[in-house]
Amino acid sequence: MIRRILAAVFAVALIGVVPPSVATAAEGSAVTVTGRGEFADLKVTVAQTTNLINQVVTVSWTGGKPTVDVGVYLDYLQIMQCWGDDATGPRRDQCQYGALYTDSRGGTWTGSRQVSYGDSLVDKAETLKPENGQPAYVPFTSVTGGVSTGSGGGEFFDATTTNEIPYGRTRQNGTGEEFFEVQTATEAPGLGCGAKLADGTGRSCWLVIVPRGQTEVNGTTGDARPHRWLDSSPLSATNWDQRMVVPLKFQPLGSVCPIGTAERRTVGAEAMTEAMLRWQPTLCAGGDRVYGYSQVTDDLARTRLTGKDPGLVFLNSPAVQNPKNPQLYAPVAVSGLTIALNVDWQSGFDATDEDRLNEGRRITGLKLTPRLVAKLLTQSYLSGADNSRTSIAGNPMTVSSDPEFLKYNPDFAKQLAVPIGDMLVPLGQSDLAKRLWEWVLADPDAKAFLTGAKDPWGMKVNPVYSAQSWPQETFPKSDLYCVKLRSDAGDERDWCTLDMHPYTNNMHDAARYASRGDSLVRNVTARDNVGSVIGWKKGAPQAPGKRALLAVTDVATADRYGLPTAQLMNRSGTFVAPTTEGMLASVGTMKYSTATPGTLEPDPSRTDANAYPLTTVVYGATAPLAITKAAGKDYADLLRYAAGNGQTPGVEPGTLPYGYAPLPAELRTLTKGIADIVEKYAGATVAPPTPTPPASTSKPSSPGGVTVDDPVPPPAAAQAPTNPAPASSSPGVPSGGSRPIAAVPSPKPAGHGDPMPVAQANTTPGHRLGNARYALVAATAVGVVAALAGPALLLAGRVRSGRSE
Amino acid sequence: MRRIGRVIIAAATALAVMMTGAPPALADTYVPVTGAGSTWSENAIRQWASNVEQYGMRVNYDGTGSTNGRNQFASGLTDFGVSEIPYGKDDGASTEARPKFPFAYMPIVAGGTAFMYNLKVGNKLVTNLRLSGDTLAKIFTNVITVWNDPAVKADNPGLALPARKIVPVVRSDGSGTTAQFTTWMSNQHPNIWNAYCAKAGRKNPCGVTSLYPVIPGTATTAQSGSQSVAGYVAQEGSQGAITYVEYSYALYAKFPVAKIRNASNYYIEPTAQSVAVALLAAQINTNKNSPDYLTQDLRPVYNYKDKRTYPLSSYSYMLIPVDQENSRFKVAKGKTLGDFSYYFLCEGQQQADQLGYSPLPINLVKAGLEQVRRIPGVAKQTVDIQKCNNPTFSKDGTNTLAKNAPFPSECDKVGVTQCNKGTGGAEADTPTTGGGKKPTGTAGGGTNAGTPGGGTKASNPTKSATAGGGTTGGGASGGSMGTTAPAAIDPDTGQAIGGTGGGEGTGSIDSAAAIPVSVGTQVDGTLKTVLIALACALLIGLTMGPPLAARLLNRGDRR
Repeated sequence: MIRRILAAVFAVALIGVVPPSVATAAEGSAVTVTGRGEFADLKVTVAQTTNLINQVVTVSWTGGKPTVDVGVYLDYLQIMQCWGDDATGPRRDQCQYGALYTDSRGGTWTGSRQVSYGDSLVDKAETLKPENGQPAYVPFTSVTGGVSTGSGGGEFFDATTTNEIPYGRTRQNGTGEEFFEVQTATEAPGLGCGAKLADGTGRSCWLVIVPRGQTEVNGTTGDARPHRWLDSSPLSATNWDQRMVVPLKFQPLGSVCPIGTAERRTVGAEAMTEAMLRWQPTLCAGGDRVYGYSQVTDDLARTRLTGKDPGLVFLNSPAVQNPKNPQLYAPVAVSGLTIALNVDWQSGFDATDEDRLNEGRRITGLKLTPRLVAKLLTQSYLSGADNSRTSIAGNPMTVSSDPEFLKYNPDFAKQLAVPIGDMLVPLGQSDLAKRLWEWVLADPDAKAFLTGAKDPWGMKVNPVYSAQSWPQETFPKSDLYCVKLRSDAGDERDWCTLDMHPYTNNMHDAARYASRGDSLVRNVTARDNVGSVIGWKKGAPQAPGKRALLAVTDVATADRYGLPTAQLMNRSGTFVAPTTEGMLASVGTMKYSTATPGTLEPDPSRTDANAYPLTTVVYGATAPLAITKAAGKDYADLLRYAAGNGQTPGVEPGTLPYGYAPLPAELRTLTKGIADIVEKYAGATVAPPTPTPPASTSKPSSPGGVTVDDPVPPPAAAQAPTNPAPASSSPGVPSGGSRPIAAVPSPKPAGHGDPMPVAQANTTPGHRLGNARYALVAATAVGVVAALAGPALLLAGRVRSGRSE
Repeated sequence: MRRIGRVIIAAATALAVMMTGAPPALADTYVPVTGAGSTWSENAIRQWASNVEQYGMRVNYDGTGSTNGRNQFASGLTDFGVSEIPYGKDDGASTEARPKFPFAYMPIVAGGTAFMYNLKVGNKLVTNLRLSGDTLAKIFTNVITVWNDPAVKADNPGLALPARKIVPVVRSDGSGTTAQFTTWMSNQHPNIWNAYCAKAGRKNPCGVTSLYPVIPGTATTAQSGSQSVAGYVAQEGSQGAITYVEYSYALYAKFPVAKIRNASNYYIEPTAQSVAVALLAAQINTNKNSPDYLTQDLRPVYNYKDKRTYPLSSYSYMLIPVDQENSRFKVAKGKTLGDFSYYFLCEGQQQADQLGYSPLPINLVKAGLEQVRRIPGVAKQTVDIQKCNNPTFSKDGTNTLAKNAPFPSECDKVGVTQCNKGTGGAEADTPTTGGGKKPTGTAGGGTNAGTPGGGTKASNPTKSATAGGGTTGGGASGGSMGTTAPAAIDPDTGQAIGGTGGGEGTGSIDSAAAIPVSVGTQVDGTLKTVLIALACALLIGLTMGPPLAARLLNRGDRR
């Protein structure tokens, strides 16, 4: 707080001394800068200005004039990233801006680098003049010395890479907020931010905010011009004079992996992708070993795992165990499936003046029941299906006209009907899709709806879906129909389900398109070379302030794109968001699988009101007998990293991306133990398996079933005393469902070591046992019966003794 | 906390630099590059792009279709394009804009254009469908319109096919996959193809097109992009649908693909190996002065006699600027595009199989690397072809993948038998009936739905299957299966592939079950049993002991 005040004071003191409003602040703090002249009330805060990497930072402001965006576009902020070694701030030719010049929402040149606008609009302060009839552009001078002249950023940046925000919107109450992607030299080599300098620090850069009001560069306002909007570029001298600059300090960029090294192959399901991408640059450090990662479906990962060349795979559910070539599973990440939203507040007729202050603001949460999710995924709203179908006649048009939705999200009654009838969903098989459907089916109301019963308000499922068998492993779009749409050429053409509601390639794309407000709808006439109409192509994204999209994605990807996530109703009837706490609470309701050691499965007997229902534990899995010794070593190291430093949440390379919950300590211990076994038994021809008692299952910290007949560990009796792990509630009985975690652990700060000694060798590559291996299961079953019978007998005894008294 | 982590990372980084002598980060800065085009290749390209992030590269790719990819590249909107066909090869050639700057074709990844379908017999998904080329061409030209057509039945003696309407799903956008498929049709089945085009109002002869003609009123439906055609077929309600799409889409969607009959009368699935074998026959334009240098002539592939061949195999190209900078592409980007290309021609090909593609053979990789050297600004590293970690490479120069490709099972041969093993992403077996010997009637499909026009009479000059599986040797090889036929040996397990003759006709051939692999020495059985018994006793004691003890104690109290 004091820092902020100091910063503000400093910023104020600077006004009038140096042209731009510069502010500095102590490390790690937010910085606030204040505008000048007509923008004197404007205070812009950048939430993080030091220690930056490629990340999203929040830029928020107060004291602005509300943006006018009806018919014309006035009073907004233009935000860009620049480089520049001068202490007072960057020159305008050092700024990454102008790549989005085709977005002329503001005016003809408001998104461009062009600073000459013809005779009717001349900036007298402008030094760059048009020559030979060519318009004047502010060149882009890159940090490497290269210069790009002309309209765009040349080789240094373009519309697909830039992070500029040409139209930052101020709300009715004068506040505003944008999520700015800070770029390093990797994303924006022309700026070179974070590139390691001779002294070992990273190059600093700048964030520049050019506030725009209603006055043009020639001093005219409103009626004096042919039209009432602004046309000039923020780089025009007069506009540039109004800039506010904030220094951005970067972490020095780490080294990248040496290219040309043979990669150690891994494949995995999408829930693992964000973590692997983050870990890869760190995993290669300190060795000549680089890990490759290919994203596949869970099913393909299982196929690979059970095949001849299993490598290391990441998946959400285990494959069928093969006693001849046993697979080992180790938890490596806790994530979840989520419904991400990009929905802007649009006031409806019932909105109060206070409500209207929210106009265009992104809504930060939603509550969804399993039935609402089922409705959204079954083309049951009229806007998600052919609304001429009698089979769904009478259903609400969109989710926001559904009484059930309004019951849980009453704010939407004050908004215009959002055009949400479905969600962006990925194509293809995924275990997480199956989990979602299982969650839907576990809810009696949702199950009834999905199988054909009306909800209390009379809405019914699209019968195409109720006829199917559930749960499925995909997100079907089964009601395939076409309506007629008029093309540019005037003819009526078929416009079909997958034109209106296309699939995305994967969950990553679903989140990315949602964050851009892009529903992927193909509603624009497509033509061939010679201009004949051939069909439909993708239309423009939804306008900022008017976006309304839901996407099914994983939590880490939603976080990567800064998307809010919906709260889903769990079995306790509580709405829970996919936070770290929510996901760990859910892991707490799982038990160790006896069928597949090393994995967890839901324990139906246990509920937790805080548990996020679509939580998943991702496993690293391999079949040690089928891989080489060298591969075993590398995979073991990867598992150890996953159970160590890889669980520290953060944004730096090597950390755990936000959106994953750090693995509980108990599971990390488990994974480290399995890593040792993978290393030891990789390439079975070298180290033939040796005997072992299966008794280690009864060790307190050894979660049930993790081991069957591991040859390595000393007998359980010898190990138990040295094991400091606290005894869990039902020691030693795997099927009793010993709870993996009791409390939310804090992530490990650093270092490969773990404070808790590794309970070694709990796991095993497994060997053929014949029918004898069922003995333990049988014994366990007897144990369960006994455990239940004991209290029952006691109770019976008490009742009897009560009678006798 | 974060600071400690940073220190450690910094230390590790310093260590890494010392150990590997890697240059400092700044020297490794890559300018991001952007490309667009083929959805056929998209799954591979995007994997490579995400894998090179760890090398500090940022590669953006947008799957917009080959035609769009060529147009955008020609207009200077992208740094590279990806297409299945070169410029000027389809019917839009005369009007197609070409780049005004020097560019080259670089092969990037091979694969099979697969025929993903959704068909059930009873309530079970068919996973082992087989089609001969003639049948396939007729299906996509609305000549064969029902699944129980005699021609389809002849290809599938073990299936009781239903009288269900065939819904061909084609691409509505400008597509290289369409171009590949129509290249094959116009070359192998010109009469069928031209007749269809004529009906659709296209010029005649029709030739290669990127825009599939659709005749209104037929069952054919057009969808935009590989995702949508695959997504369409994958729906529960899309019974009877079949589409052409790269193999990886079927793998991801967990759906089967049709085995296509090759010139040696085997029905083959587009696996990495069968594509690699097929491309041994591809003729590559090796005339460096030709504008089409390194482009493929696939005609020899279609009729390649190796029985492991998948006939609709091909590879796709990256369009890259060469020799000089152009208005968009500057030397700074050349470093990125060059290193990215080196990566995917060598290391990246390791992923191809897993993703549903086939690695490029060595001749194409070598030629591709020659093109990479022409990219302006490329770091002209001499790539040691021996170190190039491509799975097709071998010391003796042959294509390892093709050399080790397994031979097809005899049940895949034209005749009265049919393998029941699943294909593509669908692993489940499909039970087959006793070949063509028994009538294959099912409810609804029992009666022959008549003979659709032209269904049985091959209008194709090449030898093709007609009703009845009448090619010579079909019945004979079926009968002698497992005895006279040379057993195919899987190079990895040393086991014979396919079943023995005994399982013939009952559907147990070539099951999906794993072949047993022996494991190391086992524990002495007695000891193991004793230990297990001990463990069980302990466990029971642990669980049953306390309540029993408590009960005993309770009794004691009461007394």
